[in-house]
Amino acid sequence: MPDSPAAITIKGLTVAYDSVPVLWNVDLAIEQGVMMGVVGPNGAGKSTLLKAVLGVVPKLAGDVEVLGKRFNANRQQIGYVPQRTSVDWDFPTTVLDLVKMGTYGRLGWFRRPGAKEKSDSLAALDRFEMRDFAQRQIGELSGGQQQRAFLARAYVQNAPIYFLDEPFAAVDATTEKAIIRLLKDLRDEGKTIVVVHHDLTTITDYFDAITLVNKKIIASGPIATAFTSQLLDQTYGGPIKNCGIECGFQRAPMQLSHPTCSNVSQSPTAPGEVDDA
Amino acid sequence: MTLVLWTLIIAVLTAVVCSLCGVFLVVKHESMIAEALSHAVLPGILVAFLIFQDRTSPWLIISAGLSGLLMVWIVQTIRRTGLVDGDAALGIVFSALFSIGIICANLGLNHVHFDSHCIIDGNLSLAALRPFTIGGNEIAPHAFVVMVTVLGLLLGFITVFYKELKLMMFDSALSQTFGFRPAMLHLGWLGLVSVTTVSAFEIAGSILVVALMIAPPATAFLLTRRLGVMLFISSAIGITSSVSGFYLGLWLDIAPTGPIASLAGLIFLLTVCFGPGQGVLAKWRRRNTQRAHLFQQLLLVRLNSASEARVPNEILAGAVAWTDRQYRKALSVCRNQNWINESSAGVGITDLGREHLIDSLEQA
Repeated sequence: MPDSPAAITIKGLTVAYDSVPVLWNVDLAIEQGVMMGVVGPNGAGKSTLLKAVLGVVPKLAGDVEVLGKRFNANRQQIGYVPQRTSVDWDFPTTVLDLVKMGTYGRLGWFRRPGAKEKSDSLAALDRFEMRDFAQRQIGELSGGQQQRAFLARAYVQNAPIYFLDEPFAAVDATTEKAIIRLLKDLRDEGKTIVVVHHDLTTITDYFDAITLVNKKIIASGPIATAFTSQLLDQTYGGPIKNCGIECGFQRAPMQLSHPTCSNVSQSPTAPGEVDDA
Repeated sequence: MTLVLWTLIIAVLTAVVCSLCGVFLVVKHESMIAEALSHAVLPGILVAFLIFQDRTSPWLIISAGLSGLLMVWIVQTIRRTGLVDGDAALGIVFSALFSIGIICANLGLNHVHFDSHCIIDGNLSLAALRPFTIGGNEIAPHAFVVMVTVLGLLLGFITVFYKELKLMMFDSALSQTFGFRPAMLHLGWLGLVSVTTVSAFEIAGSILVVALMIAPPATAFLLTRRLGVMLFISSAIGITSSVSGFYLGLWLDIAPTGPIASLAGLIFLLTVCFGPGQGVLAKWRRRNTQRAHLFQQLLLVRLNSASEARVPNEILAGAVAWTDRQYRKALSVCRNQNWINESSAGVGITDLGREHLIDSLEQA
């Protein structure tokens, strides 16, 4: 699609908490219809990058365009699935109510969701096989169901772009595969999927493209050009040795011992093990 | 209408206003804001009083609301520095503002009657005495008019902004993304909470206001997991505790504020103990039932895997339960279900028992 604008275009984005810059002069373009992983060490500004695009954290400088328009004119176009730990799972709301929240944006101020919004939300729950859980309180769901409920919320928003912030933190391996399947289906329907991700061993299986972040963009592009050991070294600020990508990143034990990778959820040496933390 | 009836109506209105307000504080984990606001509004009241020299001026309430917002702003600023977090920042700011208020009251207002005692305890018994007049006619007690106005404001705000409030409280990031300005809405909401607090505590006193803002919503939170339903249950509990507390006060011949607050707390306690699903008793029962099932299964597993046809009682007892009583209970259930047969040599499993065991293991 040579004529269609990029899904996300970021120019000169700088974000600071107090006086410490978290993201520095970021330029980034994400093409439509790709499934992109955003990777970098802890504190590298991966989540901040997503939140700055969404306007949730204030930008010190820079412009963000969504599908070729300023974010303010296109704010419904991104569906956001927050980090699980940032959600208040005790909040008195049902799964159906949660999904309905995805319709609030197009309703605008004051208008309440009605029959149309309800049927749209139920259809979205069907899409993610969550219909049976519509009346559950959100805290009663398993980790995978929680992710599917939030995906349904993004889906009902009719957003062509999905942002997911560490969707695989503390879910088991089976659930992770199931969610990836759903995301790939969405990508095949032409959606753009951007995922903050931690586990370097699964990058080549999951994503078409990758963005390496550490305060600035180290590299961004297709896996073949951007996921190289040299660029990873730059990103993680130290040698990730013996991990020649082409000969199988999976076998690199460095990953666990490296200080910046301490919360990689799945041990590469024990692929069948399920992390139930 | 009699004075007693007016007082009751005012008490009920105050309870409803506080219980409604509190629902949103409890679900956003901001309960302490109620306590903090009830103290931090004092400087605002005093400033307005010094300017207008009139205790009944509505400016007192507005100025108190602004004082509350000032507190919220200072707290947020302190939290943003990252030096002090959460409740600590709240504790520092509200106590400081309250102290400033007390100092001002002691320095400047010695010549007037400004009863700080009244701020803590309120004076529900006297609330109905001061009339609200229009053109020289006494319409209703002043406190009644104030509380009806506040209830109207509150219901109006919640009705108009229900969707936006809910989204702001649950997911302020999405709210921001959709352009609903969650920070502004939150500030507006807390301004309304300040106004509610200050209007209510003149009548009920700060302790009762805090009790009514937190106990009914916290109780409702145990009983439902829907925000809309929570608002109704919370109001109903507020009404129940205010009416029953009011009459308890009359009967004991004491001020009604104490009994109302105590009853709100008592209802919470009863719900914690006896509430369905989440209640202590319900949980205890559930655990007991599960444990009894476990012991029955263990008994059958042990018998099923035994090489001999009969297992002596003393061996079995040591293998399947923690106490003798638990063992005998499991044994008696299994006996009644014909899962086991017994003789002097010991206990054996029946075909029915084997079937049940296979079924229950499959279910697990």
